[in-house]
Amino acid sequence: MASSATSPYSYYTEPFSQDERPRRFLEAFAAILAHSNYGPALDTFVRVSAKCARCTASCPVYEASQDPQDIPCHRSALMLKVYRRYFTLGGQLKARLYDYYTLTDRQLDEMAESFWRCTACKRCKASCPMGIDHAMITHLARWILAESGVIPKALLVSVREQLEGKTRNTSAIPAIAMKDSCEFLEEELEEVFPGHPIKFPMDVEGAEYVFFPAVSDYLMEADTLMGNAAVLHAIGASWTIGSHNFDGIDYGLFYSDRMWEQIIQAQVAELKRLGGKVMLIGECGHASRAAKEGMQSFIPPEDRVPVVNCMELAYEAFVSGKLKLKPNVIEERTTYHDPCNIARSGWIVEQPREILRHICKDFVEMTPRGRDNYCCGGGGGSVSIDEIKDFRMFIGGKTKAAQILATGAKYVVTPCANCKKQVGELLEAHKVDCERIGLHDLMIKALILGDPPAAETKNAAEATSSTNEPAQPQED
Amino acid sequence: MEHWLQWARGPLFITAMVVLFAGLARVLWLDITGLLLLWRRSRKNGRTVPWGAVIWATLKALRPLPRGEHARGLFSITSVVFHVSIIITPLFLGGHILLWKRGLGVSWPAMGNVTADWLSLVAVASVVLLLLLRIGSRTARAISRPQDYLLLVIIAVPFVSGLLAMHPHYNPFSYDGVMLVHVLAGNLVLMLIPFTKLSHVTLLPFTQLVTELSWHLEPGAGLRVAQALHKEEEPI
Repeated sequence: MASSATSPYSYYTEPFSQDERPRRFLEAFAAILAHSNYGPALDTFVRVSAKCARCTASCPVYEASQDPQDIPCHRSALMLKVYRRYFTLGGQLKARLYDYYTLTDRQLDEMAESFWRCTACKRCKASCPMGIDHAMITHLARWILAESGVIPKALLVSVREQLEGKTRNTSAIPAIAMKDSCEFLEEELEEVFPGHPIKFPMDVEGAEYVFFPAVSDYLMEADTLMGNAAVLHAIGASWTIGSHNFDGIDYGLFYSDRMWEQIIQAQVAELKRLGGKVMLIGECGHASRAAKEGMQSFIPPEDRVPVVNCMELAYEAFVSGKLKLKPNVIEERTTYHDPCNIARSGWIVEQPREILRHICKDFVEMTPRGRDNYCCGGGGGSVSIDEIKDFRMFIGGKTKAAQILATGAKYVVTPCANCKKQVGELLEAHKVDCERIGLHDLMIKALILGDPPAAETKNAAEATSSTNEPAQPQED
Repeated sequence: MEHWLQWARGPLFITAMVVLFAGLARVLWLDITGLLLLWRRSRKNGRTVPWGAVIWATLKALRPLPRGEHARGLFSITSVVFHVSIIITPLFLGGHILLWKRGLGVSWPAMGNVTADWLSLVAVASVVLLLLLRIGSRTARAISRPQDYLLLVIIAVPFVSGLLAMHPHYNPFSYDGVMLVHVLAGNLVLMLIPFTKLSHVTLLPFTQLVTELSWHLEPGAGLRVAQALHKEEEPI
C-alpha cells in the first residue's frame, strides 16, 4: 500500500497531534470502556483466545495477502494486549513485576494500519471456536483510533458534511439537485412506462415509508432509483423522500459509535418530521444494518420505527402477488453478490434470490454464498478510500473477483452501494466480462404494471386482460 | 520420596483444587456480573436477546469441521479428540475415583484400565499432532504465544507419566518418581486453568452471549465519551 504525503499511513488523514499518542489512545480507550458495553466482551476474549488459526481459513484479506498482520487473531491481539496490560488486574500486576508490555507509537501505527486492512466482514467470527468477534474488535479499535485523531480522511469529511455541512449528506448533494435528478428520472420513467404517473414523492407528510437510499444512488445509480420508484408505485406504497435528510449512508458504523448515533438520530428526526411510520432503506447493505442496529441501540423505544430494506419490501409484495414480474425476462447469466452487512446475520439472503430466480433465465450462485459469502473487498468503509484502491483490487477483492469470474455471469447483482463501487472497479481491474447491477435495475425490466390510469378510465368497459410490458429503460 | 508423594497427593492437591475453584469462581463471577450488567442495560433500552440464535451460534462454534477450503480440518478434528480424551480419562479412571472415594466418600462408575490406556495414548498422540500442526503451519506459528506450546506439553505430562506408572515393565524410572511427576503435573494443570486460555472450560458457553449483548450499543455512550475527553464542543 502506497503511503501518502499527508499521512504516515496508507490512507490520507487530516493532521493529528503527535504528542503523547499512547496516553491519548489509552484515555480514549478508558473513556469508551467506561461508557460503552465493550468491556465484558474484551474481558472474555482476552481470556479465551486460543490462537488456533482457524480464522485464517475464512479471511479473504489474509487468503490473498498471506501476510501474518492480516490474520484476524493477530490483528485482534494488538488490541487485546493493550486491554490486558492496562485494564486487567493481571496485566497491571505483571507490569509491576517485570517489563511486560508498554504501548508505543510504533504499536499505534501498526494498529492504525492493520485495523483499516480489515473489511469488518465478520466472516472470521463464524469460524472461531471461542466465539471471538474480530469485527467487533476492529470496530472498537477504529473508534478509539478516531478519538485519538486517526480516521481515514475520506470517511471523516463525509461524516462532517452529513452532520455539520449545509447539505446534510455524505456526497454533498444539495436538496435542489436531488429534486432535479428525481424529476429527470420521473421523465425517464414516463418513457419506460407511458401513462403511469411514477413519482418520487417529496416531503409528503404522513407517508408510510420514508425512503433513505445511499445518497450516491442519486449520483450514480439512476436505474436503481428508477426501479425503486417503479416498484413502490407498482405495489401502491405510500412513500416519500425527505428533502432535509435523504441519505441512508451511515459511516459511523465503520469507525465511531458516536457518529453512528448522531447520524441515525438525524435520519429518525427527518422521519418524525414527516410523520413516517417505516424507515425504508435502499438496496444498500451497510446503510440497512446501520439503520436497523442503530435504531435498536440509539433510539428510545417509544420513537423506534421498523427498518425495512427495499429488497425485503419488494420480495414480500412479490410473494403476496402485489408485485407482478415477468418470468425469465433476463436472458443473460446472472449471479448475486451478498453484501456482508445484510447476509452474514441471515437477514437478507433468499429474498432477492427468489426474485432473481423468477426473472432470470439463467441464475447461478457463487460458492460460497449467503451467510458464508466472501466480502467484495470494499467493506468496512474501505471502498471510500481511493488511495488504497490497489489493496482493494488485488488483496481485499481478489477472491470475490475470482468467484464472479467462475460463474461466467454477465450480470452480478450487487445491491449495496459500497459493494457496487468496489465490484464495478474489481470487474474492470480483473478484466471480467460482467456488468455489476442493482436488483431494482433488473426488476424494472421485468415489471408488469396494469393499464395506465388514463387508459383504465378510458377502457374500463373493455376489460382487456393484456399487461403493459415495459419498454427497456435507457442504459447509462 | 513417599513423603513428597503424600504431600503432592494431599495438601498440594487440595491447594490445587482451591486455586482451581476459587480462580474459576472469580473468572465466572467477572463474566457473569459483566453479562448481568449488559443484560440489565439491554432490557432498560428495550432490547431483547435472540436466545435461539445465541444458543445455535454457541453450539455451531463447537462443530469439529469448519467449512472452507483451508479450514484446518485435521487440526480441528485432532482438537476434538484431544478435548474428549483429556476430559474423560482423568474423570473416569478407576484409580482416580478410588481416591475421591477415600477422600470425600463419593464415587461414580469407572472405565476399564484398557480403555483408560488407549484414551491416554490418544491424548498423548493428539498433543503431539497438535504441536506438529502448530509448529508446521507458518500461519499458526505466526500467532502462537509460548503458552500455546507449553500448555500442550504440560497437559501431556500427566498422561505420559500415568501410562508409565500403570505399566512398570515399560517404566525405566522408579514408580514413586513417575507418580510424583504425574501428581505434580496434574496439580499444575488444575492451577493453570483459571489463569490461562484453559479458562475457556467455563467461559465458552458465554462467549456468544457476551458478544450479542456487547453489540447492544449503549445510547448516549458517544456523547459521554466526548465529554470525558473534553471534545463535546469540538467540531467533527
